[in-house]
Amino acid sequence: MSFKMMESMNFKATKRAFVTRNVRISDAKGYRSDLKPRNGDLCVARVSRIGHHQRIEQPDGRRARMFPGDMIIVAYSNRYATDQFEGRVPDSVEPCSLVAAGGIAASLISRHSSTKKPTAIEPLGILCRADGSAMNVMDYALERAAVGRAVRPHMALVVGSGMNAGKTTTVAAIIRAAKQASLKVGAIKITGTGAGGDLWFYKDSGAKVTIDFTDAGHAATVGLTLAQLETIAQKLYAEASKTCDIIIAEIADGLFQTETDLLMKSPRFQAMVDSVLFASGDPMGALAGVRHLRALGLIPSAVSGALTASDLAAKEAAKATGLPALTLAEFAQNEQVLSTIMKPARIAKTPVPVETVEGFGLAREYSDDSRFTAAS
Amino acid sequence: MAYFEKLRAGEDDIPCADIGDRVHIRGRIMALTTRGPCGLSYFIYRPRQNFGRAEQVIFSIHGYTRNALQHAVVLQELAEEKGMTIVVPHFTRKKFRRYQQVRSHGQNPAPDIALMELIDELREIQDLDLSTIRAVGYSGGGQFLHRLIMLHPDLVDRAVLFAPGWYTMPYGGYPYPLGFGESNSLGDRPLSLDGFCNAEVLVLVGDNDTGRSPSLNQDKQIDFLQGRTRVIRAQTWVRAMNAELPSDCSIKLQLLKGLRHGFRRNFETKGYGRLVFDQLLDEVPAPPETEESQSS
Repeated sequence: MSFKMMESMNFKATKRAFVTRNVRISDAKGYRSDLKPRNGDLCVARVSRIGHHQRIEQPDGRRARMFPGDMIIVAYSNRYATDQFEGRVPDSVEPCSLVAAGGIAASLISRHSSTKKPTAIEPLGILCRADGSAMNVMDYALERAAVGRAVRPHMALVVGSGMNAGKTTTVAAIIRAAKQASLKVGAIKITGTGAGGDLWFYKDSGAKVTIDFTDAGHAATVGLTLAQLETIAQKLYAEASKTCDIIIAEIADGLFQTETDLLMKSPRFQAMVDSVLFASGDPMGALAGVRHLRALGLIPSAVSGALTASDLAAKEAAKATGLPALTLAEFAQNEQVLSTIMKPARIAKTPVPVETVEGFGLAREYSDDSRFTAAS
Repeated sequence: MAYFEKLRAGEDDIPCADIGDRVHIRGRIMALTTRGPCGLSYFIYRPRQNFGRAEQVIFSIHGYTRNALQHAVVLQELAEEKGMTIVVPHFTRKKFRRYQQVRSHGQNPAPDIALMELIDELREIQDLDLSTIRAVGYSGGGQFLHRLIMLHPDLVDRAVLFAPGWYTMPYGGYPYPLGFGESNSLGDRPLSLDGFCNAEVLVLVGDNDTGRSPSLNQDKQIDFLQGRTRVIRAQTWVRAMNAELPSDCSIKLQLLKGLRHGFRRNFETKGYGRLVFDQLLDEVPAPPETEESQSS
């Protein structure tokens, strides 16, 4: 075992990344270079060359500048970003790349043609406890919250056509509208790559609870199984529902992204969703997205996103989809915007008995169709 | 209606063709709009558990801030516990600017007519019990509710007026809404006190609800006739009304110790929502026995 004590380096001078924010770093007593990295393992590394990411986001959100020779603590994970990098967890502790400012170490597979080479890093090893066991962000994940309330808050889901479609801006606008309606709002990001930007945006918009997949123990969600993705959604929802009246959930990337696609097709996940908004950068994308969601059995309540920056594009989208195209001004001024957003995503054909639910038991509580009953 | 019609039009991939616009999902707050000309938006919450009988319905009327969704959110746990349905009409500023005074705004429908449209629509649903109308009005909602009873004496059966800001006094010398006198805002609609004999009416107000925030109407005439705070105004109105009502009917007033103004604080944090519902509901039958409870 190649175990090196942490005292051998100036540990306090390391720059710790956002994705490690839930980790109790005092548990780290050393690092090992003989372990095979796993998704979520914490890695101490030296910056060897500055590339695309010149700063690293720290747990408090400050984006610290990096310089060659700086020591950083990041997490191994895969990365999927159509506008930036594709990366995977390397097979050994070897030179690799910083593929996300939130602190993701990965071997580069591909990058967008307009993106510079990633910042190069040389991992020293995987952080270990006194007994030599590897530290992983999953070790510091939220426990699944017990349900203490008889009711469950509405969950509005925001999905989009791809990166930069305006999903997070839409989530933030809904948060502000709900806050305006004197509601306690929870904002959860179920998939993506660990970074604080979206969570800070949610928080600044007035969300009472802001949590993401990193709180569920994943530095990034690319490559996770459906069961893992569902667990993330359940944990985050349960945590936010302890104190919030309404929960706004965001799923990263576009509907065709592998993990997004898995989740959106999952009956267990669909049954958690009360309403859906689709964010897109253009009307054609909006129509495709709305049709795709309907094919999956989900009825969006509205479209929004970057397309609504243009009145003409918003009108086109509304005409094409038959749904309201909600602009930021409407989110802010339309007193019925929450009613619009909350239009149900799924509706039963026939009345079915409703099961009495105790405890969290998602499989039972949200089993397909068990929540629906027609009133007339 | 238009929303779902749009979805249906020309589409064959919607999961349910025959969905209408009045489908309720149990255990969820639903945002719906009446189909009639008034197009009143409302939130409805139906309990997950079906008690095997038509559910009693409580209408909760929001105040000046139009926090309709918050009413639904706060009251849903009580709805679950009591096995009843909550309906919260949303009188928007744009359409129902003066709903507290039960007056129409411009060409928009009158709020009382819109509410009756909603009640009629809900009556079509078989497992809702609307044989009696029970309602609570908080703050501006309490204003609306007592004036609704004056305008429609046969409509409401039980009402709780929780901390209304001011009232219509049973005095013919003052024009409506201050009194029973003629007024353009009233038109030819008659006012009556009969509704206060037909209905059980309870006024609740916190004994610390004595602030004069901007949300309280501080008109000098109201101050003069009714007093300067919600507490004094409630006492003045109840006294005046009971003096006018026959001896076998009366409006009850209860001051709640230590309570200030604030819907969520009073209904949820302080727990007075339960008091309101106990006043409005019949005794709730026990839920049907489960196999587990039968075996034990």
